[in-house]
Amino acid sequence: MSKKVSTGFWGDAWRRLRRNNVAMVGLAILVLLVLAALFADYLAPYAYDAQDYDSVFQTSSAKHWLGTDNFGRDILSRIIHGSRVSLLVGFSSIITAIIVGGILGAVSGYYSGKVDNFIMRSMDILMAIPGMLLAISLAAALKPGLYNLVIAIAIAEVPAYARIVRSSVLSIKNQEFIEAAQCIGASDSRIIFRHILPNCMAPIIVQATLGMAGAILSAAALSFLGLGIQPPTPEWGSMLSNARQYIRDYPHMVMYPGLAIMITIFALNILGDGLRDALDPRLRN
Amino acid sequence: MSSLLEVRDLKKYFKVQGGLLHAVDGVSFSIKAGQTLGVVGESGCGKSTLGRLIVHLLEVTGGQILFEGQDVTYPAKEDLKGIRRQMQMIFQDPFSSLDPRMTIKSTILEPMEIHNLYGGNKAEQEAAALELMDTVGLARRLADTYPHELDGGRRQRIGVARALALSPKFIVCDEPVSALDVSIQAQILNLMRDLQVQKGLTYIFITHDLSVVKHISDNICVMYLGKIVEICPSKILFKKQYHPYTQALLSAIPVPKTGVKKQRILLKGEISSPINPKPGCRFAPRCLHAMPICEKVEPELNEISTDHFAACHLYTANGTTLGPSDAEELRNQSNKE
Amino acid sequence: MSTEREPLLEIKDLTIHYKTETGIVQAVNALNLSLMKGESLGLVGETGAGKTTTALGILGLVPDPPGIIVGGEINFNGRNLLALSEAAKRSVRGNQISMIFQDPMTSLNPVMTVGAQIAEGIRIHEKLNRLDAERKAIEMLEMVGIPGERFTEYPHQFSGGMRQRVVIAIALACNPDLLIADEPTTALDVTIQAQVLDLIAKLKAEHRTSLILITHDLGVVAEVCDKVAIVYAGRVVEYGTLDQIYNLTRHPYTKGLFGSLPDVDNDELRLQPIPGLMPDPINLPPGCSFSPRCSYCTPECTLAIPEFVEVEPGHLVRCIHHEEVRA
Repeated sequence: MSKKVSTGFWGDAWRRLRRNNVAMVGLAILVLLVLAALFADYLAPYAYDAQDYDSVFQTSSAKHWLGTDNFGRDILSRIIHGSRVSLLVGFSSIITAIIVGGILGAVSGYYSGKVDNFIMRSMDILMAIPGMLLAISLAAALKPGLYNLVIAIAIAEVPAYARIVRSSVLSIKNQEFIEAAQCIGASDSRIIFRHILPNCMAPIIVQATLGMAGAILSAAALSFLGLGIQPPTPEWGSMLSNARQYIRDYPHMVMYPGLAIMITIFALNILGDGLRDALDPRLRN
Repeated sequence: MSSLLEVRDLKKYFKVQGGLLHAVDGVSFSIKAGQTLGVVGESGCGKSTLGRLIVHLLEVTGGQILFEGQDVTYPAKEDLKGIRRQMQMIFQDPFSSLDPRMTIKSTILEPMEIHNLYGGNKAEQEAAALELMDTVGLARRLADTYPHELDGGRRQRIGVARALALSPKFIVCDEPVSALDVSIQAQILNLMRDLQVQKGLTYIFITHDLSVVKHISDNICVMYLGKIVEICPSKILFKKQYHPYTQALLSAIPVPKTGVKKQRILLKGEISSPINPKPGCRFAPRCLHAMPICEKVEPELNEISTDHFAACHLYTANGTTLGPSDAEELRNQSNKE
Repeated sequence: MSTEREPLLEIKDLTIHYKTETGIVQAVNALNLSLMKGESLGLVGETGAGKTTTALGILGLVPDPPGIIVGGEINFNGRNLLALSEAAKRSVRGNQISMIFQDPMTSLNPVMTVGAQIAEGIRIHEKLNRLDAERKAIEMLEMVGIPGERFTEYPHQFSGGMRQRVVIAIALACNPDLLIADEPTTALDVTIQAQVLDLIAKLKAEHRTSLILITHDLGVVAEVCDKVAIVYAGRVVEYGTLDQIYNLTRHPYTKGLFGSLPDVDNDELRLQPIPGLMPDPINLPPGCSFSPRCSYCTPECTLAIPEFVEVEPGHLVRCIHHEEVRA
């Protein structure tokens, strides 16, 4: 008799993910970024706002591995500190969008009828406004700053998660185990939170990884436009914005923040793709 | 002995595009405690809807459900939980009737948690869950496994254990063995019989398979398009059928024996639509014995012989019992007119 | 061309494995079968026995990956199908060998009319022009009992039973020598099943098509088939005529199958299920695959896979205790 290694859905998914080398690369990069963000204070060779007017516009050297910007600030240190902001913004805005969108989608899908209609039409209205425009308007209306940046991006993302959760709920709602839960006397909220939502996690997680990439880009764009993070707090987008005027003479000021954004988005995307395959219910069994 | 469950003129209509779908259309029967009523019919007859109406998974459109003499058709919210403790259901599909994210033990524990059995004592609940696993023949070491790791037969046993967790008096079994292999079917059917005897359970056993229902039912009712067309003790049904549909159903079963020359009754055409059904007998379009009256007047469920009811004009014209040959005559007469 | 003496289809030692994350699934293990022209063979077994994989193997449709045809021969009309090129296989499929799958709901393309689907095979294999193919398709529809005017309708406008008839029409459109039907009536209501079985039997007789009927239902086999092969864990364990298998059963598994059937004529209330479960195809037990569940098992059984023994002409059994099984 073969030994049965009892793994749940997540255990099997993790094993499948581990086998996907490309996705593991993405995961590794993200782990490094998170570590960089957490230990920025120790890793960065200089303070992010330490200005050195004797070493402005320097390209890569032994003292400054990625060079300096127009204020003589070390670009490497600013990028490391900037990771903290980018990841924080990306993560919080998506989590907020998932929670708000998830609840709206679950209620919508489970109860159907007028409630569903109302919520989904509201989401349609929200989705009709181009995401970037919406984020810009919200960010402009609210005071610039970290919290408001997160809120603006989150609001723009809510409809996507509401839709995903709603369609998952609709497909799960008709499965017999939901009827069975009703039959044993489970309340509606128990059914939604204990039975339906856990079974929706897969598409949410995939969308979330890809969404984080989008959120980081939005944050960069908004900061680029001066609506998000304010100087001197380093943020990759605002670093880009700042470097815009010097692009011809000192392209390294644009290149490094740009690379940072690119690598992060890339890592999130390949991880997201890997997760989608690992969590695919068709591969179960 | 009074009945445990009584159903009177039960109706369920669904509003669909195109009109009103008569899923269950005036069904009445009663079941005594400790007995099993087999409900047989093909797809579209309403048997699954009937099962769900009785356990309150669907709202009743009309008629009454009486449990232990009490009217439970439209239960108040406070009473519903209590009613659920008495009436449970075993579902058809062993694959989709279990939450894939929950271990076996959690699935069996859940009803106990919801109803706070054993005063909420976790340890006692767990012990009870493990005992239930023994009762249904699941090895205790499987307690922390997930449904997808097990085969259909074991999964169905989990469904049985879950239904038993609240110690109900009454269980609706919705095609519990249809999705299982033949040799596993036999195991589960035996299990259900044994449990019924041990715990004094009352069952409604819904199935499309007449050979399965014989082994487990005391009485059998045959449904067609939302109505009961025949109902009688199961021993009698296999010896004598009154309704032409029941006859066709029985003759359609392929017999696993050689040399049996089947006098098969082949029905014409397909089942008619349950949406806005026309007046008259629902089976008339396909019936080989159809008479003019069948298209105008709906036959009532009458007692043709002791305890044996059928809804068919062959047996009610002029208040006497007609045989098929008399029907032939009547038809020829009307054709001449 | 197969003569009256030579088998139309002969499968020798067919072995098909599936490579999965958790191990190698031994789906079909040295399976042997033969079928004469005009004969119907019932391939009987429960879920996971390897029947569908065998059928896919005959048609060259085993998904690769993860399926691997490890060995064996499938001789059809004298040619080994496994050795054919993909193009050659395609010319055989739908033309000389056709298959009907289990679920009529998903076997038909929902966005093509039924007429077009029947005509498709005709046009590929018989090289008829559109009009002639259409005419033939309408003929096929009528042959399976569907009015020809419904040629332009879509699958969703038909009920399950009628869809299965359309599937049969597609399968028989090019007058194949061999029809493989994989549980063709399992998803249908019993009265509709009766109609469809009746149709299959009629068409089979009219066109002298050989039939392999894959099913777990011994009642259906008794109605339609001349010969029966009982499959367990990817191997044929008993093979013979209908009468031999049903009335002179010699393998414990076959006996167990008959014993676990609920029988309308039998008044016995307790059924006799076969204890235990089908073995895990990744981890088959040593020797005879049925030994863990067998009441006749002795230590000898686990030493080696039993060879076929011819207990009577044409009746083969893989069991060293077949004498005891003879009731």
